[in-house]
Amino acid sequence: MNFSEVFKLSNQLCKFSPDGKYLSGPGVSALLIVSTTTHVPILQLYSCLDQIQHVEWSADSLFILCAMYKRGLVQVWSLEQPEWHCRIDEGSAGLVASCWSPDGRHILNTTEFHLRITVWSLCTKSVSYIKYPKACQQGITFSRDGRYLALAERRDCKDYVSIFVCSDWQLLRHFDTDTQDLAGIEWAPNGCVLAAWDTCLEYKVLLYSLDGRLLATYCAYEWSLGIKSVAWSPSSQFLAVGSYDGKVRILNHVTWKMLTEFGHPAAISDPRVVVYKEAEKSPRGALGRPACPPPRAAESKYEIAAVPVSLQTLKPAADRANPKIGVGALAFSPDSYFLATRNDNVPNAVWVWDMQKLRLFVVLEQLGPVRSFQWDPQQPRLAICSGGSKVYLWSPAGCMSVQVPGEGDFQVLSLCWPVTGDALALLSKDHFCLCFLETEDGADALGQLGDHT
Amino acid sequence: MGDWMTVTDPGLCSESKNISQYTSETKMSPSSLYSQQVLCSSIPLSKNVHSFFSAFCTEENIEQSISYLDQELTTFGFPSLYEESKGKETKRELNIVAVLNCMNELLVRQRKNLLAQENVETQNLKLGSDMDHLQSCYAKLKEQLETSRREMIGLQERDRQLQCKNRNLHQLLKNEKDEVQKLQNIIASRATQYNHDMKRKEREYNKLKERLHQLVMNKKDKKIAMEVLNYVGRADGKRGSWRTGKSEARNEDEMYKILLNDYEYRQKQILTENAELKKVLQQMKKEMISLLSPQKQKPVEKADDSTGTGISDVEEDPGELSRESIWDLSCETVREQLTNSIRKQWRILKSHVEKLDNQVSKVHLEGFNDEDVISRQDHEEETEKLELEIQQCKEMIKTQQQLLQRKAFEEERASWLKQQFLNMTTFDHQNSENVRLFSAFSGSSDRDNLTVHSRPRQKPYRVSNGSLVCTSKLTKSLPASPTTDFCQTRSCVSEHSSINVLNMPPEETRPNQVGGECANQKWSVASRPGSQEGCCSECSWTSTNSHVEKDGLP
Repeated sequence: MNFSEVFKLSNQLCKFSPDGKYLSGPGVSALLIVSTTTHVPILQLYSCLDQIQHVEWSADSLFILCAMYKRGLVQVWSLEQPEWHCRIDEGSAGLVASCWSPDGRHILNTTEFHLRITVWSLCTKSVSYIKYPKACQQGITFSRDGRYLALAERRDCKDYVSIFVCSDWQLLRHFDTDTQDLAGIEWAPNGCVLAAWDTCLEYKVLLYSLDGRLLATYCAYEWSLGIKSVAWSPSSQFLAVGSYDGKVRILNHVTWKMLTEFGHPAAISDPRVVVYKEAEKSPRGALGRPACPPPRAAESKYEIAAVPVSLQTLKPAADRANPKIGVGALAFSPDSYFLATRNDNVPNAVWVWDMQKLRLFVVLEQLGPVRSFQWDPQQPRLAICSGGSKVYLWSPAGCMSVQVPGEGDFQVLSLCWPVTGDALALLSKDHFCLCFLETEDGADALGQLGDHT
Repeated sequence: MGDWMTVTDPGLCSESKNISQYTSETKMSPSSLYSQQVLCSSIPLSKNVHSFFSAFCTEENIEQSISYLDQELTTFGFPSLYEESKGKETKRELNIVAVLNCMNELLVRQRKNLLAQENVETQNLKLGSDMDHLQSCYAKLKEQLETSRREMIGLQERDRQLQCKNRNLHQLLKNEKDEVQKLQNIIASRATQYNHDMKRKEREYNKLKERLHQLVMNKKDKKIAMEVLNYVGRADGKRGSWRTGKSEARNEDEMYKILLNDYEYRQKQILTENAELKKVLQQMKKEMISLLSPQKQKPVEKADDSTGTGISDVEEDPGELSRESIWDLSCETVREQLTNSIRKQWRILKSHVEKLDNQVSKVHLEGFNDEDVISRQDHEEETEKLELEIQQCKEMIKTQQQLLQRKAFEEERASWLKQQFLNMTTFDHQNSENVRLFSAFSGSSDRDNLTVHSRPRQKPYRVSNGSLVCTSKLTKSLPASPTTDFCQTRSCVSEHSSINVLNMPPEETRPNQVGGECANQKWSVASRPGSQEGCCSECSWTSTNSHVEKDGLP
């Protein structure tokens, strides 16, 4: 594993380009493009007019937009032509969100108070408006093949979903959803089914076909807090619904009925489950006492704990909103064989479920609360970070913990993979660095970047 | 007369008192006097007795005693002690006989009474002990009754307490349920209230938004604009198109195409899965049938239902298979048939396994001997089966060996024939071959000259016959030459072989019982050049050895 040098970053907005070749890391008001393949680490530097709140690559990796919400500005840069520039000013309408369309030539800006969505075209002079977008967790979703846009809307206190054709922004379907307060929508990877879910006060998942027909409704229980997170499996076979009761329910794509539910108890007693516990490798002094104080954060390794194991739990405040209970993070591996989950009241553990046998496979318990985990887009390899200076990798072959080299403590708060799966971007509060994982042929063109200090 | 002396016997004080009560009374009930007398008689003889006895009658009162006794006895039903009076006022004489008889009678009665008394006393004792026993039983039972009553009371008390508790818990449960219901109602009412409030606020908010939107739009803010250096071409290089009705229809079409593709893909997947599952089921069915049928070798007329169905299933099976291969679609009836037949087979298998289990359990119960017997039976059956198999295999091996031999022979013959034809046309090669032929025919044990050995094999008599025929033919057909003899022999041989070849078919009837296709094979082999001469002729050598001596070759 090779680590690159550390670059400045703001707002943890590091993004890989869709082709995996570049990494964008906005500074305070400048955008840094780092190449992941060539020798030159810093490819280009663009200066923006204000503090950048959102960065997004276009789907063909040719353009990158930087959104500055405070100023209501969006600046677009071209990688091929560094002198090309584009600036979109929303003016008094304000800006709260900005994103690319799948064809990479339109930008959708959501104005303040979610008054409307303006579709700016980079090819023509046309502008389109979409009224009444809904202000919710996940109101805009594009299908994977880039043909359709599903938008959540709210008119007269009722929720609607509109489906637009991305090629000409024509409204294809418009239908109402039987929800109290639609919280999010997401296309299935095959682009034929749209999942919509209700607010956390009501457990309801609705499945709509591409042509707007309601295929199925699923409700697991009443009264208690409902859905916290939703994820489709890459093969579109499963829909995983994580809820506040600490369970993940898997729906199957044929009948849309629950296949099984995965509970997250704090005590694990199944002997087939492998539990990895992170343990510190504290260096011992001559007298057998641990050397104190350690010069840098101690190394750690994974130990296999014998079942039965009990994990650390967190008792959430019951009278506060958005309590830290329930399954808050869900992710399927790219081959749909594994599902990684995190139960928010067992914050140090990541649970990996085997989707072929539909049971718990591995539990990884870290020393600190798990901040983020991401699957490698190419293979079933999971990268985890827990706010320390280490990054953890798990695959069915085993797991390891890697210390991020650096003079100070590099607190890894979040991470992301490029689509090629051969590198990792580690993000801390103000910095980011690239970590190159060894490829099979061992060719590591960036040996120079092993600039550890 | 009636003066009884009181006897100071300690045990009889009370009785003697009783007796003294009646001293003055002469009119006593016979029974009481009798009992008194009995009691008195039980007094052990002692000195006092004698005096007691003599106290009744003395020298002075004999007459009175006799009359008294007579009176008593007559009242008891005894005959009178006096003799019959002849006249009035004459003194009645004592009838000694009567007295003796009375005495005897009294003794007899005394003895009887004693016996009776003994019996009564024993009975009394028995009754007394019974009484004691019963009393103790009674006391025990009373105790038991008491304890069980107390226990019952205790249990009743406990039961009552538990019922109380139960009622309390029910009450609590009811209360909790009521509370839950109440809370739910409260939540529902609050939810409606909040929804109403939220709707109101949302409407207000929407109004504000609309107002704001109007203001924003009206302001005609020149700043809302896009500034771009130059417009970029579309990603796919095409031009933009207008939104028309046609494009709408096109979009709809595309959408439906996508949906249909997805459905078709899924249907294909499901069909392949179905086909796989059906295959597995069919396999399972076949295996189940094969599991069940070898054991059911009994005749079908048996009343055993399972056997009947098992065999009938086997008969059904080919028909079903053919039907299902034709209808290899997800036809409703075919599906049902398959699942029903699988279920049937499974039930049969289950019942069979249960039967076996019962047998095994019976065997365990019945002991060691039976176990031996049964297991031996099984072994015998198995060994029979295995022996059959072995026999079959042996037969197969034999027939295959024969076939192989014949093939080899045919190949050799064919090659030999070929050589013959070659020899006939080119006489240059003849000499070497002649030598070889000669040596062969002379019956030398030269193993190298294998080419000719193929001939005489199994039918020496034929060869000789053929040779006779041959020579006559030869004289006519072939041209004369120095090597005519050899030619003759050669052609003879060829004719032999040809004859033999021709004669092969009828002889093949025997081995054909085993394999029907042998004839065809041989014919085809005969035409092919023999490549296996070397190996096959080895086996033929053993047969030819015996035949060579018999060979009457020219």
